[in-house]
Amino acid sequence: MASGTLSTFLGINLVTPRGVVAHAETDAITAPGELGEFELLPGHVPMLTALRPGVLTIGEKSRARYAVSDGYLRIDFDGAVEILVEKAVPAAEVDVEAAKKDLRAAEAELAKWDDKPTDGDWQNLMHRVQWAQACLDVKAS
Amino acid sequence: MPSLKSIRKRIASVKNTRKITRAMKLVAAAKLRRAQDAIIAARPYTRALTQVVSELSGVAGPDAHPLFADRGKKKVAIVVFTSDRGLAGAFNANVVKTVERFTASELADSEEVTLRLIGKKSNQYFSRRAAKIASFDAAPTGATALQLSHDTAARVIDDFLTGKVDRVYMVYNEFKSAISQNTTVQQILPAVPPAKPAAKADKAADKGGEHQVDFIYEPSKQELLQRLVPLYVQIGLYRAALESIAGEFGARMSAMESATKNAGEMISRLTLQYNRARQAAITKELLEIIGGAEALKG
Repeated sequence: MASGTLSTFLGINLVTPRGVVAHAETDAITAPGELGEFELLPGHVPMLTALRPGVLTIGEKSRARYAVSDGYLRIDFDGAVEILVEKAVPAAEVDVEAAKKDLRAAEAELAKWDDKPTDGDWQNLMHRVQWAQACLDVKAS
Repeated sequence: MPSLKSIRKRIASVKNTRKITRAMKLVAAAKLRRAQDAIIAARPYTRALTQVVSELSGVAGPDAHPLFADRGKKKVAIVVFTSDRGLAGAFNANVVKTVERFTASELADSEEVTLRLIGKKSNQYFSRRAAKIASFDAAPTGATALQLSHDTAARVIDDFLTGKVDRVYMVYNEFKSAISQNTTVQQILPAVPPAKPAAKADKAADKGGEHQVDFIYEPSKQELLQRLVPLYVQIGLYRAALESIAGEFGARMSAMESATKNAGEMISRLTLQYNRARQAAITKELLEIIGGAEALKG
């Protein structure tokens, strides 16, 4: 990749602890940022940003959608985009029924939490809710 | 001397045992390969995350995150990785012993040591002793390791941030090779910001320096660290879980290998004993016949 010149594509690398999920060149990325969803186009300035659980879309013309959880997105000077997330599941592989069940179960447990301290276990429950929601969102649209 | 029939029965039973241990060895070998693949698959993630955390803590300063704060070791938590099942040689005993030794020596002046146990074997051991157990989870498998490390990381991070513990260690079997595991004690909290890899100096000079300033951090560097350091802690636990899984299969493989060998030796010894006993019986019968014939002749 030529650095210095304005690149016309984004070389993305989607990595999870289970391995590299996607390694491709594309024209746009829509990602669930910490401060809201954002779109990334070629020639973007170098940036490092945190991601929330949500829907990641790769490509404008041919779209590949993934449900992703916490992580970061980093775009380098040469247009290389590194997306590191704890989990990434392609939309086609999402099990809607399982996600719905998990969402209900986690929400039911959260409802019972009342005034117990919001400790690590509570955060894990919150994370389960967010992840199930992300799985449902990726299927919804 | 045992009867011929009893020896025959023993040979048959040892043969059955050998069949079982051989099958267990083959199963462990197949699973070991999968576990090793998982370790390798996790490497790019670990490498990238480590680099970003080291970059961030480099520009934001080492005091930038509460998870980096060293508060001594008054209250300590230990995450213990063992397996759910035995028949894996000294795999679990090594971990348990290391925990005992570590608490008795390094943590002798700590006020409180709590355990977070992973794997039934450690629970069986420590629940019978006067140990303070904060949580117990089943041993990880390839499918559950990620979730387990996520949950465990969230728990210990919360304990650390709320001041319930000052330091967190983990004890696990590091997978060296199929025949050797290395029991390791590692500090996970306070997290030590990884040092910048020196080998990448040329690359860093290319990208770093003045360019570093141009990077946009969104949200701020501190908030980014807030999000990424927990992931960094988690990946440490995940790696330990994977190493423990691979180590378990490796240990079981070599334990079953030697059990199979022992069974083979036992079978050949018993066969020898059986043949001797049979020959003795034949000789005895012959002598009786000859003796009888001699007596009739007389």
